[in-house]
Amino acid sequence: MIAACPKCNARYRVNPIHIGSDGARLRCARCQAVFRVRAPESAGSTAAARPAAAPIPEPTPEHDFDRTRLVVVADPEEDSGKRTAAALSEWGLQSILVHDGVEALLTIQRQLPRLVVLDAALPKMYGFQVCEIVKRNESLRSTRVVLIGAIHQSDRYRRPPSELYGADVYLEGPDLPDGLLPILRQAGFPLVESAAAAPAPVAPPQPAVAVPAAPPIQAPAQAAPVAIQAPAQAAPVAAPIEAPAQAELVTPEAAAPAAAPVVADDPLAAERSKAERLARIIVSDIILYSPEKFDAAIAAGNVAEALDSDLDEGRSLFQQRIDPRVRDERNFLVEELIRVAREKGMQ
Amino acid sequence: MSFINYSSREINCKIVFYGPGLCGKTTNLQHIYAKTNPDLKGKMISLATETERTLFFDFLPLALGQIRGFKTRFHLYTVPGQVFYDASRKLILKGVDGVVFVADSQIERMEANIESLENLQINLKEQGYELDKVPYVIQYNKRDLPNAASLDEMRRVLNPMRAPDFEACATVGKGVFETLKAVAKGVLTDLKKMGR
Repeated sequence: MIAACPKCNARYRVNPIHIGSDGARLRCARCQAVFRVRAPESAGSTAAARPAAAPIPEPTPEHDFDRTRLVVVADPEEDSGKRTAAALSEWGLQSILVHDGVEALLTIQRQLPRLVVLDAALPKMYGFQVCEIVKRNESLRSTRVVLIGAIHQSDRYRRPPSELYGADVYLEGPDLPDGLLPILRQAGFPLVESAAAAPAPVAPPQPAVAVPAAPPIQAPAQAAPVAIQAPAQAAPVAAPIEAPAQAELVTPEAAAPAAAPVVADDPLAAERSKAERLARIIVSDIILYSPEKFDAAIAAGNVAEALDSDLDEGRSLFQQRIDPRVRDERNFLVEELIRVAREKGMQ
Repeated sequence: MSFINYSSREINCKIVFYGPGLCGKTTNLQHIYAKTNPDLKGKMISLATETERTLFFDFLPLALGQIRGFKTRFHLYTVPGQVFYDASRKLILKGVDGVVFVADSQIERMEANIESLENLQINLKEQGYELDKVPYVIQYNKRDLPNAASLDEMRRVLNPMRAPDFEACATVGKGVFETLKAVAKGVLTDLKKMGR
């Protein structure tokens, strides 16, 4: 079942068998509100008869990828992406090729690859933004990210991108695919370094906007209370509806809710991505023009209240530009404001 | 569209400095104003509210010459860059003869640059213009900052049409007049074409 936070409308997937007859309390990680959820009528009797320890589903990738050999290649250029995928295939690895940032993020969340080759300048969402989200996501902790600069220039960035965005390795575009070989060796991939073996690269299973199934559910280490695995912070950029970090059951009597980020068939994903981008730009403008006010609000821990009037103009722009079905899902502007404030150290 | 004053034999052209918030549009204008001969320029007028800053001034650069005996007078405008002041931008863009897009080179502002450029294209289209038909130059400002993206990256993202582009540091005036000369040249070339 889907439980929505009544305050900020963040949505969580909760297994009804873990909800007792009097419901269970959930704390929303996004806004910290505590709310009660009740099992649907039909699930009530099932809950009563459930076994003491409900089995928790294992991660269920949609295709039979071998995670130990799986690499997601996110490259805006069809040809160079195929070259990289072909080389990985020659080395005995499996690869999924995607061409934009949103697709990359969804594929990474679904397939939990061991390594991601991420072009920095992907369309729809920059590679470095994808990298930041991946690196904040606890369930993707073991995924290594190779960030690819598009231009062969040592001074392309004045600050190394690996330092900025948390990537594990930084490689320049023209060094692909051969530059990957030492990285793969170092990461302990089982390489076949002769050119015969190897399955062909596989196309992504689904387009970015139509994700058919929930992402793999991370099995919790202990029974209860169980944290819902999700990105460590609310994702700042285009993404499917995600359960924010640390959402947890607060009643000890409630057993593990096998909850996971909600990724349903979603025709509004592109509009949501647009809404998140607009929110980032509006908030960035507000902070740029009122830095002292923002800093003071961070110190006081009340950015949402202190900058409420500044958000008014942003809200009216949102009304004009964003589809009401997405606009009313959650408070994009306040969430983005709080995200930035937390990045700057607000408690 | 340029306005021709037959009695004073002047052609008035409008150049708009466009770009995201705090990218340096106003700094460009202030530098141009400060370095222009007082005899050749008009008043600098700032139409500013508490949060919305728009700048306008006009000047008459004789050095740019005459077209069929008509002097050319350039009116320079900036738009408010913050994303939510779109109505003001539309208004200021009316009758434009040339556009300078001032991009903020800081990598953190790349998304704002893209949004502003898309907004420029939309607003021009509403008035029946196409960006590739209007005299148009790009300035990559704030090149001196440590978190500036590379020039190649800026070009790839913001200038696929290969419009004339310039690196700048408007606070010290670097690249400011080069940008202005390029857009003025485009406007004058267009005027001459129309005059034929």
